[in-house]
Amino acid sequence: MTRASVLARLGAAMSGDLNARRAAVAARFQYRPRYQPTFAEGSGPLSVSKFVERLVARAAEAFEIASLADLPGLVTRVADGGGQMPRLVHGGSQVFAGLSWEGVEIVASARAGAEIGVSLAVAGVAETGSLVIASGVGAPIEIAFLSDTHVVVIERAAIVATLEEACDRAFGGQLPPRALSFMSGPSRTGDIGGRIVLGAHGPKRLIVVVVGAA
Amino acid sequence: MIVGLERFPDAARAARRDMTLQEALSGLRGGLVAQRAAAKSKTPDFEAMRDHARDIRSHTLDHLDLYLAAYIAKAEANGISVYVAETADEARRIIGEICEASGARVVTKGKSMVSEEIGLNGYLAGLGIEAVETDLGEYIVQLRGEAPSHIIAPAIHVTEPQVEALFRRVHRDLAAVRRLDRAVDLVDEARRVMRERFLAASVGITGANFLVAETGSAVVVTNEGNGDLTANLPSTHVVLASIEKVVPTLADAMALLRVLGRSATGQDMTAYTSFFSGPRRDGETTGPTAMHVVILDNGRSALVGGPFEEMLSCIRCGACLNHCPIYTAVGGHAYGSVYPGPIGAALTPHLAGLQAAHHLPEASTLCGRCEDVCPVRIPIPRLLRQWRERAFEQRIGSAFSRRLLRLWVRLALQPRLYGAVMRLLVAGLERFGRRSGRFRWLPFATAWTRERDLAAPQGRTFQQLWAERQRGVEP
Repeated sequence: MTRASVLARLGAAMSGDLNARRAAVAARFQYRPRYQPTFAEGSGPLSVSKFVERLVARAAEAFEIASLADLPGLVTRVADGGGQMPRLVHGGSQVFAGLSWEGVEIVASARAGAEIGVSLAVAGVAETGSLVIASGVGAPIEIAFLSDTHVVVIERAAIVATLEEACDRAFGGQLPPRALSFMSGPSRTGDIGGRIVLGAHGPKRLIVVVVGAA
Repeated sequence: MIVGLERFPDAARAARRDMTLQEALSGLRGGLVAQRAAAKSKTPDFEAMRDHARDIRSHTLDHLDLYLAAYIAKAEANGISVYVAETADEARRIIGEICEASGARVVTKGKSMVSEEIGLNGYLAGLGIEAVETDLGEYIVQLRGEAPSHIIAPAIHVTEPQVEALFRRVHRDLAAVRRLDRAVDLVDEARRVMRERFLAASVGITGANFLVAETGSAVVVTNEGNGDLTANLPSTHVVLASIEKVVPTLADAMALLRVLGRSATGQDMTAYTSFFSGPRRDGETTGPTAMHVVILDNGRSALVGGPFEEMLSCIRCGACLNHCPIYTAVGGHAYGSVYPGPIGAALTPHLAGLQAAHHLPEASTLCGRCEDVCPVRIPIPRLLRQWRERAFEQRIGSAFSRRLLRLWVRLALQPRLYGAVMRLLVAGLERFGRRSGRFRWLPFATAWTRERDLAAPQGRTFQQLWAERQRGVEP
């Protein structure tokens, strides 16, 4: 069997006592390095404002609302339906299904061609200005990639300093989420003449909505 | 696949004469090179990040058998089917069988250098399966019937007007009046065509930047989001990765991602960094119902523990290509290898044999910029020298060049004679070149003077200057 032969050949090429190596590997899985990034531009702790600042620098748009109930109003204001009532997909999770949406047509699947997709982020990373979005029941991750405008809602308390802290929040469960993405700005490409163009395959607009009192 | 390695000298000469290619390559310095420099200047702890990244890679290679086994166990526990393929042929057959079992006629593909290495698209075409590259650069080179010329910017050799002409020729339903002279129009056009393919494909094939042993996840990094559409929409997701992509933990993956984006494009994080950890879970209504991971060896395990082991540390950022005086002069295709540039010149002789690939380690000035910018500090110049030594030992290369080398060795091993010959040579050249300070033509150096002048020596050799400096005489 190929698997066994490749692993055996690798094992034979290794130097060092096997038991000691097993111990080193086991220790690695327990080790939790705490990275503390320092940055040239600006100082002070990594904060919500840094998180927003970094996303905006990468062409995302950012808004703050006091509570989730304000979300439908905000979406209606910023959405561009091109004169028609925009279609919106949110996947059906309790968080969004319970809101009173107005001025948009709610569709069940992102594949039906919704102009607006709405997701809830499980974490935000101030270090890189990334939104962490996981697939789950009522939260198809395809929503994040198929609409022209992607609205991501994030609780203020879910914004953490580093990538490692975000992993702790996102991979905490029994099984890891099927798919999980760190999203740091709208879809972009530099593949034609080296020029950066937004909206390559995924969303052209990324709208971040921070929920909760400052 | 790997073709035409023996032709490197001719291909390089032709590339220097190709003005369209030269124009396309001229954008590198102001583009990717400047972007990396800007990211480095904004990251005070960048050097420490690189040290940490190097240490992660060497620790992983020291225990690669155990981490690979740990990854496989975790991935299988997550519901992923894992295969280990010894050879390119075995990997192709496994993926072909998966595609046929799911009845696929169209498969979408995220960018994967390993799939180029094994010639997957051609194999699938032989089975009657159309493989559509979804990374915009890969799509462009696929339509042109070419291989990628850069490991992260596959179409870097193609100019905007060439893309317009290509789309007008291939996209038959495109109206003639449609404006396509700006990059943004071309991207929109590709997006329109590709969206249908994403929704139609029943199998999506991606590479992986990393395989995380701790969680059984395959990490896919893109800016376009094409990797995510490829992985999330079809009912089957296949990941093709090579054995050295394994990293121990999520924290290790994060530490490597910190140097990957900065080194590749100057980004602290690419637009999408995604972790795929299994098929659709209970209660979910979207996402692939089957996930397969094919792990390719193709000769890599033979490198472990040997003098070329560090090649396996490579995280495929492309920085060594962007900073290489050879790559930026001739582009990627001249190399004739799937992996061009400095790291390609180090890796290809192992994949294709030194006899076929011996020109590539020779195509280097050993200036060391590749090692300077490598995020995991691979000593590429040392690896290239090791190949040169082997080539000499194995009597590869022309008899003439070997005779010259032998002559050089004789001279270099006799310091007095060497010093005398050099003094004579430098003094003579100084006298002949005194008037203009440079040579427009010089016998035995026409390969140099054809493209540029050679500066005339200043009269004294390096050894003379050094000796004077040691005595405290200012030059």
